[in-house]
Amino acid sequence: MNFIDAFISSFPLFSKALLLTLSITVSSLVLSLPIGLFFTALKLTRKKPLERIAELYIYIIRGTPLIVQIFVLYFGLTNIIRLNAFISASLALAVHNGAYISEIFRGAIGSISVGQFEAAKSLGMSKLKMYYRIIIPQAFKRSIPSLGNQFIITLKDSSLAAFISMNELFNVATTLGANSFDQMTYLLIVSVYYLVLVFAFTYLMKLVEKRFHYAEL
Amino acid sequence: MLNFDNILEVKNLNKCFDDLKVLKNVDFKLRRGEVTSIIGPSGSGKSTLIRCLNFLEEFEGEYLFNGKMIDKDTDLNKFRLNFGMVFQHFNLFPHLNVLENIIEAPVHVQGRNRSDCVNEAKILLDKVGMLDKLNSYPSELSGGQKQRVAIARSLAIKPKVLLFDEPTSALDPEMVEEVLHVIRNLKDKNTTMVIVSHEMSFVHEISDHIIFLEHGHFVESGSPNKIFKKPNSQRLQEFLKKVYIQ
Repeated sequence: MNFIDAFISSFPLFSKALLLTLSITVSSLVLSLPIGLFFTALKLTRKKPLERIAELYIYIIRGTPLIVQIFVLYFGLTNIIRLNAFISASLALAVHNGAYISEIFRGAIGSISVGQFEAAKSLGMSKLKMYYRIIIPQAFKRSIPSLGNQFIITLKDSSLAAFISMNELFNVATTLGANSFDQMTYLLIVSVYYLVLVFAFTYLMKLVEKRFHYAEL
Repeated sequence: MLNFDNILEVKNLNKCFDDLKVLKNVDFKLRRGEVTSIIGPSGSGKSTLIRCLNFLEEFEGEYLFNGKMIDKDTDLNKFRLNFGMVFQHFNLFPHLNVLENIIEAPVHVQGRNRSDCVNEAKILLDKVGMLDKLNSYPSELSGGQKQRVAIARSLAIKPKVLLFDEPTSALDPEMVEEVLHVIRNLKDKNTTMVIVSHEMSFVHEISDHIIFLEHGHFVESGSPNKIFKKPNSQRLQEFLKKVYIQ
């Protein structure tokens, strides 16, 4: 069977899997942004215990493999709570990305000049208002390229959900490959799906970047 | 009757950065409707002093504003609205256009009506000659234009005192005059101002009172004529010899 025929005949299965990959990715991204912002906020409080909590979270998440984190949620917690595969995968990805995103936000906020903080302060702004009105809008703009990167990593990392039986793109590819004894064809096919998805994501992020564009001083 | 001539009075101001003492037992008084300038060599603590006045820096000392003691129970965010501050590097908000920069604090801090604030902002921008740049972003403006917008922004909160921290030091020479012109107009309306500046002829011309600092110490103060024509201390004489060419 040649590549084109395999591509066409597998399209119904892959398109379903594509939707699942997208759902895992998007739901985890939507969740990871507030998680990241929350831990950045903890660090910005300049209260030692809160800073320590944020540091510990980042230390643990960055220090352990994502697949372990997914397995912990899916298999490890069964005595306490039963999470289905979709929730386990999305949640693990969200918590995982939250750590990286909080570091992206922290770096972006750190790159805003001291003068911006002082101007906001001198206009009577409280700390909360200063961040909300002045610092975060500027920092968010600066973090868009890194966030785009992180989003693409998340999209591809969602393939790990295959290991907890989610029929997303990668799982479909390996299953079809095993059944037909033609791994290569289906690995190539699934690569095409990922490439198209990443291309679309990149384009979307460019639009977002344009939307938030203003010239830097 | 209380003496309200002094809008602001700081006694025994001490400020250190870690182990470095930058201000030592400085007394500072600001008379209502007057222009007070702070001069001194670099590292003398003049910028630090002006930044203490609106608590951008923490310090030790006794602080009276309008006869009222400012202490740890004072809401500093609210208190800072008594001051409009103009910075050396403008510090306009780059993500907001000129109009939004000006109405930001009146609308979002003081909670005033937006359309009133817009009208007032237009009057302020007209005063500083920037009305035609209403919708421009800071990055589209020259240094002098940015600083004029920054002055309008500091006026928009209706402060009682204006603080200028080296307002022309980051400007190209040909843009200095347009900013000084705006400050002169403010003086004509009896605005209470504190100015830190290296433009000695401007300081001479605009000030009612001048303070000379060196190494964080108060050295000498007085009227422009006294400071520039009859300086008492040797240190001020030496300083003027270096920076003031008549």
